[in-house]
Amino acid sequence: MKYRIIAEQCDICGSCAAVCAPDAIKISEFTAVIDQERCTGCKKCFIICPVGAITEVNIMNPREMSDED
Amino acid sequence: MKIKNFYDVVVVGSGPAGGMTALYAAKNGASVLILERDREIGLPVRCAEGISRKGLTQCLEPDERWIANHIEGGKLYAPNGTSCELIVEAIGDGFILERKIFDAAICQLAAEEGADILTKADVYDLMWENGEICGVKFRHFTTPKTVKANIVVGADGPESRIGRMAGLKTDLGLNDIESTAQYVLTNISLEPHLCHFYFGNELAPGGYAWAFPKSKNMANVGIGVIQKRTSGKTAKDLLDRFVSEHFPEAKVISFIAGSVPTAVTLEKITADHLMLVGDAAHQVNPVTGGGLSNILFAGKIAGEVAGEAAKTKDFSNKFLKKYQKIWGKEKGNQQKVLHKLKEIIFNFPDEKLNDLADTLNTIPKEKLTLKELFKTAIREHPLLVAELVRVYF
Repeated sequence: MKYRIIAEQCDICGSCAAVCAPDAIKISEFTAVIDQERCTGCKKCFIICPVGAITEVNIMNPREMSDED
Repeated sequence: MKIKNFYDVVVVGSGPAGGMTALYAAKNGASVLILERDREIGLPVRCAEGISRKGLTQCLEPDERWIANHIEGGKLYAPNGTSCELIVEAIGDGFILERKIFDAAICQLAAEEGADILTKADVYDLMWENGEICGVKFRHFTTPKTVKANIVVGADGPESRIGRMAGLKTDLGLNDIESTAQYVLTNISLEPHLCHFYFGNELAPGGYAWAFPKSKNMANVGIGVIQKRTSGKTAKDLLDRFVSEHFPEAKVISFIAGSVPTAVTLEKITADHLMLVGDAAHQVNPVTGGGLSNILFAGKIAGEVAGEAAKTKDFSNKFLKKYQKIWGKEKGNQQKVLHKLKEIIFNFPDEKLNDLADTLNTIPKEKLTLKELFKTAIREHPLLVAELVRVYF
C-alpha cells in the first residue's frame, strides 16, 4: 500500500515527516508531499497524522497515485 | 538587511530552541545568523504555552509583553470526573505565554547581541567541504542562496531535517510521538488561575487533554494521544468529542495540529560542525509533553558551547559534545526516568486512575507535590521502582 496527503486537510505540522524513516516526506509552504519513490509503505505517517490528512492509495491504479485531481 | 557570506553559527529555526541558542552564542562573541522557514517568527503557535516560573526564570527574565496569564496551581480530572487540585504552595506557580510574542522577543534579544535574522528562508541542504559540514543551502523567498558557517544548529522541530541531512537517525517510533490538536476557545467557564488536565483511556489514549486559560474566558484547549492506540480516531476527532462534552458553549478562535516527541533525547545531538536543539534533539519532558523549560535550558547551553567553540576555533564533535554532556547531567537522567514513568502512567486502566484520584485527595494539599503524585502512582509497581533505580545509578 502507498500513501498520499490530502493537501486541503493538511495542517503542515510536519508530524508525518518526523516519523518517516526513509525521509520520504517534504514539507512545503502549503502541504506535505510524499515522495513515492522513497516511500516504503510502512504506514507510520498514516497512523499518526493528527488531522487524518493521509489516505491509502492503491498502487495498482495509477489515477489514484496522481497528485492532480 | 544585509547578510554576510559567513557566520560562526547558523541556526536553522527561530523557535525558543533556536532563539536561545542564537542569543547565547551571540552573547559569547560568535557571529550568528538565524534562518526561519516561515514568514513570521512565532507563528503558527503549535504549543499549549504553559511554563513554570522556575523553568522560565532560570533562563529568562519574565516580561509582561509575552505573559498572557499567571497560573497558581493545577487541577487533575480522573475519568469519572473526580478532580484533585495541586496548589501553588506544593508545586509552585507558572505562566501561560503568548508564544508568538515570546519567540520574537527572544530573537529580538539575539539581534540586540548582533545576530542577523532572515525569515522566508527555507534550508534544503547542508554544504560539505572535505567531508565536513561547512554551511547551508536555502531558498530565500524563491532565490537559492548559500551561507557558510563553522557550526550549523538544527533547531528545526520534530522533523529535524538538519539532523537527517547530517546522517543522524532522528525519526520517532509510534510510541514516542504524541499526536496533538488544540483549539483556542472563548466563551468557556474555567477557574482561570489553574491549569486543567483530563485523563482517561477513552478520552485520550496514551496522553491527556488540557485546558490552559489565557484569560478569564479564553483558553488553549487541546489533546495529545498515541494514535496507534486510538482505533483510527485522530487527535482532532478526540478533541472535538472532548470539547463538545466539556465546553459545549465554546466558540473557536483558532485550531492547530501538531506532534510532540516524547522520546528520550537522541543518542547523538552533536557532530563535527553540528548541534541539534529542542524538539529536533527530542528534549521534551516525556510524561507531560511540555518542552519549554527544558528547551530554553538546552538552547542556553548549546549557545554557550557554540560561543566557546567560536573563541577557541574548535568545531569538532569532541568540543561540541560538551553541550551534550551538560544536558545529560542536568536533564538526561531525569528524562530517562520520566520516559519509563510515561509507559506506566499512560497504561493505567480507568478504574485505577479513579482510585488514584481518591488516594491523592487524602494527602494534605500542601504536601501534594509532583514527586508525591508520581510516588503515589507507582507505589503498586515495585518492579518499576527497581527499574527506575537502575536508570539513576
